[in-house]
Amino acid sequence: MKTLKIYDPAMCCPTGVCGTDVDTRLVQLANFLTTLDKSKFEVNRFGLTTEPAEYVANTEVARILKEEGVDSLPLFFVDDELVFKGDYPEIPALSSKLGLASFVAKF
Amino acid sequence: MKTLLSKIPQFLFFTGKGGVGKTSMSCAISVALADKGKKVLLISTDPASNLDEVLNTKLSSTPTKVNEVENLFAMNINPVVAASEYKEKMVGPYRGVLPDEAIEQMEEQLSGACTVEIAGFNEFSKYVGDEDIVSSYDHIILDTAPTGHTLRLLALPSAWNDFIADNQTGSSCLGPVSGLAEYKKLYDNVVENLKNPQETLLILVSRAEKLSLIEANKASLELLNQGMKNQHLVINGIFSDESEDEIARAFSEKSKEAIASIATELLSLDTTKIGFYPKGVVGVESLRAIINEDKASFFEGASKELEEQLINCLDGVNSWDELLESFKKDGSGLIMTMGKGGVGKTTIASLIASKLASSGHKVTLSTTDPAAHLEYMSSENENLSVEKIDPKIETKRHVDDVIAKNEGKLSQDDMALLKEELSSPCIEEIAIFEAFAKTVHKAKDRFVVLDTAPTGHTLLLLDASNAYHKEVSKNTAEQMDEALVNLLPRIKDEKFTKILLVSLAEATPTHEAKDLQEDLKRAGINPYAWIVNRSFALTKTSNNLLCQKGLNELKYIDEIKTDLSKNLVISPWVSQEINDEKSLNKLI
Repeated sequence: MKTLKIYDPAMCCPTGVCGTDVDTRLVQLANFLTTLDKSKFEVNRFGLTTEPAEYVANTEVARILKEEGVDSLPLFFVDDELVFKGDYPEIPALSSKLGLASFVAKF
Repeated sequence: MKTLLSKIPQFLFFTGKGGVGKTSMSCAISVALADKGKKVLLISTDPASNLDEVLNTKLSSTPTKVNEVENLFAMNINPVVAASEYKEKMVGPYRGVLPDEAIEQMEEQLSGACTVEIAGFNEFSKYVGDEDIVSSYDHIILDTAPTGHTLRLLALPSAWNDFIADNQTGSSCLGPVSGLAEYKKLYDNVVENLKNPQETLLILVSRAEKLSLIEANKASLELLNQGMKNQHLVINGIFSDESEDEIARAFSEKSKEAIASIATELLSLDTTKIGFYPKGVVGVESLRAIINEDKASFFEGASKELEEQLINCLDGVNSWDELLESFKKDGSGLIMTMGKGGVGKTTIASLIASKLASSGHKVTLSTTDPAAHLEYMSSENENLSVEKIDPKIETKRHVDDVIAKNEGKLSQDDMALLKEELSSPCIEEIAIFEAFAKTVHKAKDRFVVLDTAPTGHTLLLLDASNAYHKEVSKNTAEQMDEALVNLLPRIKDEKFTKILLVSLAEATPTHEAKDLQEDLKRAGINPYAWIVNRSFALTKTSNNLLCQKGLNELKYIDEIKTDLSKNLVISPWVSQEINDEKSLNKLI
C-alpha cells in the first residue's frame, strides 16, 4: 500500500473556473487520481482554505511553508517522502514516482 | 392589496433588485397581517437593512416585538456579518500558525459575494427550517429570497461532495463554504418548503420602470425553473399626475409606458399596484397608509423649502465642467462608470465620451448594454468611435471554451457542477473583461470610456489567476494574452484609470454603491468620483410630490458628499429619451 499526499495551494477554484482559463493539468491530475487502484494506493488531497489543520499537523509541510512561503505549494508526498514541490507534475512523472512506470495516461 | 393579503401562506419571500422597495412592501404586509390578529415574524437579510428606521424599533439578531404593533416581531440577519463570522471561524485558529501570506490567500477565497450569499441563506435557513420557531408564528416573512443561482447550486449532488478530496472541478461559490455542509439536511428542508405553493408565496417587487420590470421577469422565470411556482407581482411607485408641470407629466407618462411594456409571462401573475410615496416609507402609520391605498399627502411649501435647502446642499458639489476639465488635463486614459443595474451607467459614459470628443480628443466609447442605441454618437462626431460588447455572447464564448477543454475529462455530476459554476455572476464579469482588455489597450493615446467596471473581488481573482498562470506558462510555453496581463496593472494605475461610481440619491442605491467602493478599496483602488444621477431636486419641478422627493434626496447627497467622496457631481432627472448629443447636454 502506497500513500500519496497532496497539499494544494489556496485555490479559489482549482481549475481556474473563475479565472481566465482552466488548467487542463489539474483536470488530468483529478482524473488520474480517480483511476488509481484504491486497494494499492491511498490518496489524500488537502486544500489550504478548507483543511488548514492538515498543513499545521504535518511538521514537514509546516516547516516548508514557514521557510519558503506559499509559493512552495503544491507539495506531493509519496509515503511521506517529498517528490514534487511548487508545481504540478505531468502525469507520467507522477506515475513513475508511484512505481507505475508503464502507466499510460488515459487522456 | 386586499386580495394579496387574503392568500398569504405561512412563508412569504420578497425578491427584486436593490432600491425597488422590498423592505417597505414586506413591512407594510407584515403590519397588515399583524393588524388582522396574526402572529408575524419579519426577517431582513439585507446587509444595509433599515428595518429599524421603517418600524421605529431597535432590532437585533433575535426576534424583537415591534413598537405600536401587536403580534409583530422583527429581526435583522446580516449576511456580511454571518460571512465574516464564518470566515473568522475558518481562518482565526491559524493566524500566527501559518504564514501571513497563506492567511491572506485563505481570507480572499472566503471574501466573495457567493460566500455572503450562501452564509445569508444559511442564517435564514436556521429560522425557516426550525420547527420550534416555525410553529410559534402564523407567518414568517423574509425581505430577501435566495437567487436562482443559489437554489440550483444547492440542488446539485456534487455541490455537497468534499471539494478537495473527491471533486477537483473547483467551486467558486460553494467551495469556500463547504464547511457549511453539515447543514445539508436543513437546506433540503428549506428548499422543499420554498417549492410548496401551500407553504410559500414569492413576491416579485418592481418599480414602475421598464428596466426594473425586465429584471423582475428574469427573476420570475429563473425561480419558476427552480420550482417556485406560487408568485405574485407588486409594481411599486406608480406616479400619476395630469397637471401642467412638465416634469410631473413626463414622469407620469414614463410610468404608464413601463406598465404597458410588461412581458407576457409577467402579465399572467396576479399583480398589486402601489402608488408613489416621495419620502420613502418610514413609520407604522405610513405603512398602514400603503395597505389602505391612501394617496401620499401634500405638504405646504415643499417647493419653496427645496429651493432654500438645495443651495446649502449643493455647496461642495462639483460641476460637470470641473469633472470634465480634470479628465482633459490628462489627455488620455481609461474612464469607467460603475454601479448597480438601472442607475444610468451607459448614459453617463455616453455623456463623458461625447463631451471629450467634441472638445477635440480622440475617444472610444464601449458599451455592454445590448439595448443601448449609440449610433447617433459616432455619426455626429468624427473623434468618437463606438464599440459594443454583448455580455451574453462573450459569456457564452468563455463558457464554451472552458467546457470544451474539459469535455470527456469529467464525470456527468462534475460537469454539471462546472456548468453551474460557470453561470455564477463573477463569470460574466470576467468574460466581459477579457473582451474589454483589447479596448483598454487603446487608452494609451486616446480616451476609452466603458460603461462597466470590475468589482474588487473580480480584480483580485483575475490577479490571482494571472499570477498562477504566469507560473504555469513558464513550463508549458503557454502564451498569456498580452492585453489581459497588462489590464490589471493599468486598472490599478490612478493616472491611467478613473472609476466613477454612479448612484441615485436614495437609500439602497447609495448604500450599494458604498459597498462597491469598499470592495474596490480592498483591491487597492480608489474611485475617482461619484455621480448622482436622475435627481428630482435639480429638475426645477413645481409638483408638490416631486419636490418632496427632491427634499428626501438631499439627505443622501449630504451623506455622499460628507462621508463617501470628495468629488461628487449631480445630474438631474430628464424627461426625454436620450437619443442625440443635444439631449445628453440636459444632464449637465
